[in-house]
Amino acid sequence: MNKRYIIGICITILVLGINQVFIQYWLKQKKTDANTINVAGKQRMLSQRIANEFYVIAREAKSSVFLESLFNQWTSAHDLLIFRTGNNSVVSKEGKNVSDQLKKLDPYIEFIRNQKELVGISKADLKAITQNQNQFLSEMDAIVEILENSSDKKLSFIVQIEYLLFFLALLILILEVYFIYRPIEKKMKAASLVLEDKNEKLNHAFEKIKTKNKELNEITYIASHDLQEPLRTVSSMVDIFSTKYKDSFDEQGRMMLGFIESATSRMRNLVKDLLEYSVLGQNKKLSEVDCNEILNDVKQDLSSMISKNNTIIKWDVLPVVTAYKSELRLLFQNLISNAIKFQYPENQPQIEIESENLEEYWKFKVSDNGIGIKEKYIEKIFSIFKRIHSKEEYEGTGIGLSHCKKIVEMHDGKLWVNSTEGKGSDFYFTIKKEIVKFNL
Amino acid sequence: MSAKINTVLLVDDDKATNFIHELIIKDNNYCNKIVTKYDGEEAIEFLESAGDNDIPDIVFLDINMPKVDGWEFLKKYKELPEHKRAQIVVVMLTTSLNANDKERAISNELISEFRNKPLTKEMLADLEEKYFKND
Repeated sequence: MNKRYIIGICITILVLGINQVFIQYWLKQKKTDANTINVAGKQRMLSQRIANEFYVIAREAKSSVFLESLFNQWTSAHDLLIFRTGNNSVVSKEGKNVSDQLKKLDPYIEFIRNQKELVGISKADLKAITQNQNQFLSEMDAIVEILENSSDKKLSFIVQIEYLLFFLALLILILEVYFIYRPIEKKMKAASLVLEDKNEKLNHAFEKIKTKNKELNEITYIASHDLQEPLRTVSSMVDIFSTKYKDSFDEQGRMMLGFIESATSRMRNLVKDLLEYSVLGQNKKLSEVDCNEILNDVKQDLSSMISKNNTIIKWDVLPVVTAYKSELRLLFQNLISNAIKFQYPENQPQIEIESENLEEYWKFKVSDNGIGIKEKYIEKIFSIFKRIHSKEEYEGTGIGLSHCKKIVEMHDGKLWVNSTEGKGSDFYFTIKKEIVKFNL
Repeated sequence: MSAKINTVLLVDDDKATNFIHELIIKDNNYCNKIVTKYDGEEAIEFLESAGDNDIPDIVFLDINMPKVDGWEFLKKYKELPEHKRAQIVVVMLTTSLNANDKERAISNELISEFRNKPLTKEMLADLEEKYFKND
């Protein structure tokens, strides 16, 4: 398709080029012919002036100063004409060659050359000169006519070729339109129809996803919300049961009661976290958020944890960003509390927050000197309720980083981690400077 | 009275689950000895160091565990010497509703059974009927 299109354009350019060459040739030819005809006319004029000079000589009975120069001009014009038409290409209707015709003029010129030497001019001489002159003029007329005819003939030939080329170009254009551009147009139309169709399907799919996502959120919300109710009953009952009857049980019975208590409390935490996860970002609002302010708030909120572990939290001046404020705050809070939590008991936690101004994003780094993460767990840690330590080692349901991931994705960014086990972790996240509001 | 099955290995990170499973197995006089491990790594270490008399007949294996999970346990399990594995029946025991997990379990030749938690009397009897009838 593409190839045909290019060939079509090439043919059009070629025809236009040929056309141009012919026009140039035509112009040049016309100029040469006009020039030759001009010389022939001048020749006629010169012969009349020469005849005139002879009359002047006869009347004033003295020689002319002009005659010599006029005669020289006359003969050189004659030679020029012979030279110009020397290739025998200019021919009359009757087949007479212009060069031959010009050569026939030689006797007239010879006659005048002889008259030049005359001192006195008799009436008979004048009569002979006049006659010579008349005959020369009529010969010259015939020659000019042949030249003009020949030029016209050449021109009409070129004009015919021009017409031919014009119609040829027109024909090629029509063929191109029919065989190349129309099929291309048809294909493009078909392609655009397909695109439109795909677009519509995509829109439809998007709507479906939106609905499904809403349903999913609702289910998560309802499930976790409605689960809380019976769970609260179980939990309260177990509490009362435990205080009232614990002492009447044997060792195994008390153990079982302990399992029930801890399982219930774990479930309450799980359900609470799931509920928080499902409503996360539901009433989010974009605003100008000063990250320094947020971090001070987080420090305040985590103050008991921070003072208990003697934690050091450092940051340089952080930017003001366009973000979902309470969500961003939760993000920093989760990352910082993780950094404090996942630490060796004897270590003093040191946390540093840095920011970087990228073209489209703000990039943040939260680094710690904690226990770090084994390489094989790095992918797992962002999954919901995924824990890589036992409950006894580090408490929690394992939802914190899922929250973080959800929040970062809300900000059209990415969350990732570089970590060396035993040395600490660097959590990175980006948030887009211009967040596309795209409510799924 | 001695049971047909000598040793059962329970691998689960949840203490309560292990407690319940131990209770059911004991109450049904299902085996002579129960070994309980709290993650895949401990379980593999146990199997590696176990003498011929300690090699379990059944392993009840959980999928979701911290550190070494059920799938990783199986990768390491495969590297154990053939004679140790020969008599072991591996039962994957899980609460997972994940269809992928089930597919994965069925296509894994190391797993004999894929069952849902918790262990029940009927499940134990069924397994004994299926794998230990002629012992």
